[in-house]
Amino acid sequence: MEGPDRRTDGELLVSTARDPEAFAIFYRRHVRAVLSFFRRRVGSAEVALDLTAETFAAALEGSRRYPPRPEPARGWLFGIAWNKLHDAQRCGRVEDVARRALGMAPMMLSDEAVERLEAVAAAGVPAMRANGR
Amino acid sequence: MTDDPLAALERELVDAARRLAAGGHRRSPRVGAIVSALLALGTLVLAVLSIVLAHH
Repeated sequence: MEGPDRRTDGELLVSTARDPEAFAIFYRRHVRAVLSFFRRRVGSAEVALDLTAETFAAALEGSRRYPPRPEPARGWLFGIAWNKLHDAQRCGRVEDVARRALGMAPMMLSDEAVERLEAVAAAGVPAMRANGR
Repeated sequence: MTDDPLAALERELVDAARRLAAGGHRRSPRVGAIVSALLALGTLVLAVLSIVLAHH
């Protein structure tokens, strides 16, 4: 059985251009924290998911220009998240620029999905692991 | 409708990452249309300028 991937977030982002699965690992490490971040600041789980999706789509686009750097990539990701939040608050709606640019389909949520999102967001941020993230 | 939105989002992102890896950046259709229109307009302006300059 394979253990957890030991690459840092920065290494995963740099690898994404030739190894799309690397971005999935990056996503799984941070999606709950990003969702919780938005859920604490917006009125519904659906809007929080919308912002989360736009944040990761922008991160995927940005990964092609991501230079290896000593700072944890988590800070870079949350910088994107703050910008998306400010844009949404300023415009009164969540933009979908990055998702459209990547050709991503919009998601329709069932009631069960919304409940599941609320539970994930309420569970909060897992403790950070100590491998340079 | 999806019951597991985080898993669905992961699939969408990995598919998008594969498309990027396979063919580079995918420009949105709207951006493509705007760029094409600007290029056509630029060509038209150049053609008009050429005609005007040729008659002076």
